[in-house]
Amino acid sequence: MRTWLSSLSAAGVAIVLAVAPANMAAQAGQTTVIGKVTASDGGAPLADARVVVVGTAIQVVTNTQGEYRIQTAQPGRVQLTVYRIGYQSKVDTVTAPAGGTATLNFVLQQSRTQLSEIVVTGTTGNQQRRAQPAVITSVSVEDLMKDSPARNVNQLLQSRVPSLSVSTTSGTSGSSRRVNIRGAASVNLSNQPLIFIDGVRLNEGQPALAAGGQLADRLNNINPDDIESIEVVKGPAAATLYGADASAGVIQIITKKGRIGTTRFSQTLSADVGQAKQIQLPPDNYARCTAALVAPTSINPLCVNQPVGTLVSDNPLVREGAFRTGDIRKVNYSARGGGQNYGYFVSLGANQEQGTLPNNQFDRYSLRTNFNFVPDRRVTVNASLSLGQNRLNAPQNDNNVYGFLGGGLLGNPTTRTNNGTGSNGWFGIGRDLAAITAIETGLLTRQNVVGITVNYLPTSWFTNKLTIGGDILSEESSLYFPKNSRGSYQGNANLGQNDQDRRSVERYTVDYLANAKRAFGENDQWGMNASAGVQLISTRNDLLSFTGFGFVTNSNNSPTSASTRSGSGGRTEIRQRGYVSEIQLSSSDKRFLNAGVRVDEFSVFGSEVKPAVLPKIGASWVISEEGFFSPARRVFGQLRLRAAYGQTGRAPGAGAALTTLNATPSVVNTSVESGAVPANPGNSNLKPERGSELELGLDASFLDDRLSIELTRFDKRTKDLILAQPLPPSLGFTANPLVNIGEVRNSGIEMSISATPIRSRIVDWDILLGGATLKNELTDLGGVPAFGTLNRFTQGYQLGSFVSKAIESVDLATGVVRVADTLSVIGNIFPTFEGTLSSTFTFYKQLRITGQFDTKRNFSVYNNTAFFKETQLVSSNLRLDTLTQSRLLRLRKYGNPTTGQPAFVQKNGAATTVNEVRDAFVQPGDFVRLRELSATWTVPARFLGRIGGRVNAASLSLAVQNVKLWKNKGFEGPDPEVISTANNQFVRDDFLTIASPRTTVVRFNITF
Amino acid sequence: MTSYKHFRSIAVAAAAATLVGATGCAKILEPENPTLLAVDTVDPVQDATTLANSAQQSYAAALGWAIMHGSWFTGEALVSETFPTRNDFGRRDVQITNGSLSTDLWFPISQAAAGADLVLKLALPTPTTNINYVRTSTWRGYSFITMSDYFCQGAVSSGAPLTRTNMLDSAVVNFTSAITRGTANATTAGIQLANVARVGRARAYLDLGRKADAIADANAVPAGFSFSFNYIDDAGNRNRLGNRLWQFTLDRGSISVAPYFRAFDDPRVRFKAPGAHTLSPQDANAGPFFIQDKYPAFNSPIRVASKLEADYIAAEAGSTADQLLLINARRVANGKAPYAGGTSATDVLTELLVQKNLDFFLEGQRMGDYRRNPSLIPGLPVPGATYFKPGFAPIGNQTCIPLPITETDNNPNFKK
Repeated sequence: MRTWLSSLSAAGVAIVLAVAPANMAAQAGQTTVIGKVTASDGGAPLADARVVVVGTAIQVVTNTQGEYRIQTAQPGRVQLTVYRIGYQSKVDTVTAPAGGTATLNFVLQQSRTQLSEIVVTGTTGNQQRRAQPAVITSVSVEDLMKDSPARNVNQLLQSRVPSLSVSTTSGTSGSSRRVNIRGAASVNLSNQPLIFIDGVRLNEGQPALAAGGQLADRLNNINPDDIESIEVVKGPAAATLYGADASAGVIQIITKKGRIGTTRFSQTLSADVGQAKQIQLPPDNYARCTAALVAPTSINPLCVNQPVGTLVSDNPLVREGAFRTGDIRKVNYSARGGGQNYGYFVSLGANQEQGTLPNNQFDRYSLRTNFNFVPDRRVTVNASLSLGQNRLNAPQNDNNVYGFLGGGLLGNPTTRTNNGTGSNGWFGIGRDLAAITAIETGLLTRQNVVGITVNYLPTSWFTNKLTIGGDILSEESSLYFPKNSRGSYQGNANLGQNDQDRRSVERYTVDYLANAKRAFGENDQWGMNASAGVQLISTRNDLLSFTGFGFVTNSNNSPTSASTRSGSGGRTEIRQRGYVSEIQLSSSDKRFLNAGVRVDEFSVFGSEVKPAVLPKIGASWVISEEGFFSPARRVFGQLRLRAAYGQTGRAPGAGAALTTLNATPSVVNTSVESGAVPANPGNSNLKPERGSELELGLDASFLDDRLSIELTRFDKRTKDLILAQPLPPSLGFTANPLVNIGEVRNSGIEMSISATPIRSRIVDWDILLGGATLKNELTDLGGVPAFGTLNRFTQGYQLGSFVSKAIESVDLATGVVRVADTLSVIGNIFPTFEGTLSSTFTFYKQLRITGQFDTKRNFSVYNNTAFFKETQLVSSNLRLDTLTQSRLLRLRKYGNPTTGQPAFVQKNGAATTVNEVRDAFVQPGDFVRLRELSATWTVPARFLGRIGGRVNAASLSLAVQNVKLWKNKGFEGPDPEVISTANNQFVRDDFLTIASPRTTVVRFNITF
Repeated sequence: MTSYKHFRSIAVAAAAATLVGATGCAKILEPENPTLLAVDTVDPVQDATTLANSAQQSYAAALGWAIMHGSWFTGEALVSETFPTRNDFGRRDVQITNGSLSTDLWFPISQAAAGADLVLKLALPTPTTNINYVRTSTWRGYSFITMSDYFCQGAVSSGAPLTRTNMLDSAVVNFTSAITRGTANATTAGIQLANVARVGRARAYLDLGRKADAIADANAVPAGFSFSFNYIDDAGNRNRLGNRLWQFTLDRGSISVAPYFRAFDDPRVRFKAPGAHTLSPQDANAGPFFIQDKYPAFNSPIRVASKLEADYIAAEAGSTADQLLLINARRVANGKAPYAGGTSATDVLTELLVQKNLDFFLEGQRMGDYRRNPSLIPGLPVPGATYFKPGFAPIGNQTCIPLPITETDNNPNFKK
């Protein structure tokens, strides 16, 4: 592995070194083209527009003044194309004198249908969007960050891309979000998309935290201020070229680059200051006073001298001040510039978030350097290096006896004491706020990503691109229970317990692609674009774990200081090799036919499995440019029709196909010896899941481009579903074998409407309305019986649908509650509709006010917190105070209260319990949320001029996130979006999970 | 121009290197994965001892789980934690969807049976005396005994449903093999395992009602014989190598000795009252935490087979006079006055079982005693009575534990 990788790396470096002297020789006598790119509407300079010399590798980016400077090797006629997200591209020609300078300015028109925008993802070569049969959504992060206080990539993506569903799993700062694109298709494998950054595959994933159900998120390692744009490949129709592991979609992050050809050096400084407030506090605990507690000698301050049976309440979290106002601080400095044939971008970022619970802190520090170099008109080199370090201190929560919410919400007022001893209203004895806060849970991450891409154009029609990169990640997770004499924790944790994990993940990408592009026929009417290449990805995962307990002091808690120690570790490695080829035929640059195939081999496939062959085919037709369309142009500005079909896969983890044993020791007499027990029967025929998708859509603009619509219908079928076939335990295997059976179908309609109802000198009003439906169905289980208890996999229903023995009748008079004999589906786990509405008012081109609403409909949430408080611990006034709920609801929730009668009676007469009748606690999760409200004031140029002319741009923003939540009245929890078991993709429950706080952030941006 | 040619040749070389690297090295798709133990790397004959010891350890681990769940079900201990699935055992109302039933009770005992079967199916040398056959036959036999004591039905190797008689017959077959081979093996280990199997077979015979056979086997167990599983305190492997009862006392706070057993004030029921220890119950609602003190450490051994058990088996299978003899011996040995209760066969047998439950407190015997003598076991959770914690449904009336849905749904022989 290291041998071939080293040789390739050496080859890449050799190219750069060899080209450098060639470049020096090529500088003399060059011709220069300069110019300025401005917007047609108001003439504002357009920064970050890409200016490309047609037929060469040369391209530059405009500076904040919209200026560019290009050096071409040869004088004469030079054709330039300008691209800018949000504007129509433009091609123009200028004649440049030998050794002299020519000027060529561009005025770009705003465009809602981005047909000329270049897309780099999901295609073997850079393509204009008009040629792409499958939709690939771009998010212009650079523009977004001017208004939004997004502090991580998940926030950038939330509610921006139809069918890309982001769920905030908790209010813990730095924790993960659940991301699904076009629903979930896999039962046993991840449904999270692959992440690439500038063509290098990242170590995506969500490492576990020893803090309950929440996870960390490697996407949080990326500084949003380093990102220029994000491209989202939604499904197999577009993701074919990413191979047999991409069926859950691909997210490509494109970072900011230097500005070749500009002599101007610009610096940007942005600073965020804000706070986070917990707006939904947990409910009180209730209990009735007993005779002992009301006695004058009682030390219970709530019950003493009260009548027996008095209902008293307590809220330990509020009483001891568990919630604080969190603090948000972010500062980012970046510098951008370049010379005649090079550009650079350097960014330094620091982000500090203090959560609303006492020991929650997320800090991120990042450094990114991007260097782009044009040694020759036929060669470009882009090299990047990013170094990052994060520390997440997470509070204990969720299904966790050490959690803040567990400790508070599961406590009982009868245990209150006037001297603070015992449980004192908390769940555990001696486990009060101080004891829970003292538990230290941390994850220290260092992530270094390096990449180099070399483009070589030996002729104007033939390009070669080689990308070599690596993501080297180390994660150190720790959990420390401090030694204490109060017995605050359980077992040996009270002696001081230190758990440490050291994980290192190295992922390397090598990607080579050759592309030939020719035009022929009259007026170059016909075009052909053919590509072929190879991609290698290797991932190695090492883990070392340590547990020790028994320390002399809490300050001396290193592993060697523990009286009892143990360790473990392991390594897995996965390799993937794929061959890609694609051909595109075009006619008059408005009719496109596209076909491609990827052949993939994976080290994790079964020994009997042949390489996966993944085809794709598609067509795109810009019908509005046809002659016969002229009569319709009064209505349509642009109209494009597209259709695409493609296949991708999803590959299992290392060793999944093998028949294995578990190495697990045995006691022989009194010593420990090695041992092994049956682990996994394996499957030599295990192959990837195969997702195939048909996508049909149109992009249209109307009314002088004031209204645009993007409409897509997708139908994704995942066959050869990888299921862990449940084995009867009597076989004695510790793991279920993965088998390829069954099928999942995800279908739906995505719609994005963009409109400008008002466009005037005083005010502009822009609206963005997005929505997506989702029909997720397990269409075939391959003969495997339905499995799962509360979240069940049943043929004909959504994956992981909620099931219960449904209540069929309630007799209010007798209290008899009759339920079904068997489990049946009672709710969806995935919303069937997600929508977003964003509205922006811009006054005098200087003050922008944006509000963003989003909604998720028709899904359920298991309110396990209520279930536990009301049926297991009985510390809720809803249960204890019979007047708070109707008799009907009480019977539905708790069953028949009559002594000697079963709580619930099945149709067949058998008794059953609330554990199998959870109807009343599987509650509707539908909500509408005012996700974000922001105002940004762009400081007028006349004010900037008074600061000595050194400041090019400045803006001030105020943004509030999680402003208001409207939830279904049937949902009794604080926030239907939280998920207490984030590591289980088919659980949607609230179990002692902290809700999202409201954050308010002020941002100041200055460029000089 | 010379530079360009130079460059071009390098670029072509780089591209060629990429392709060669991609296609030429066959090993690229064969990475090392040292974490995995592929079955084809294990020599079944050479490693048979390792596999046999593993099967024994699997039963040792399963026994701890079984004792704990059985202690809740039969009222030796109270469930002092919040898990609804574990409280269902304390309530004698275990649903087939109960997760603890599947993962903590049924699977471990199945794993022990399957691990033993793995070795028994190997063609090992010296088959009539091979110690690995002796060891695995013994623990497969005990797996059947535990299965038959706890579960209403049984199953092995995804086979057909087994009745209690089926399970006990299978236990007898395995124990017979262990006794024969162990005796022939004649080493210390072989003889010891043969005696363990002899106690096991006596127990199976008693459950089957073959009293004469039970007495014969029990009497053949040498005086003073006792075999216990050794556990160790290995912080990294407590789930498999540590004493489960202590684990769930110390780490989880789940086991609180029941009032019925505390009331005997008997040295055989060792427990500590609140104040005499510093541990907390996991569930503060469970009331005062009376921790068991029979197994005060992770390395506390658990007795599996003994001459004392054999004596109880022989007495139960024998006459009332035999039973009275043993009752008084045990009472006197533990500081009690001789038995002065009723002398009817039922009274005496009841007292015998009380003494046995005290002698074998938290050793996993009470479930089997209850199955054999359902009306003679005092101190059981009473069907219909209010559970000791608020919020839960009343105590159910289960007499045995159903197989989990994970078995009945996925075992083709259970399909209707």
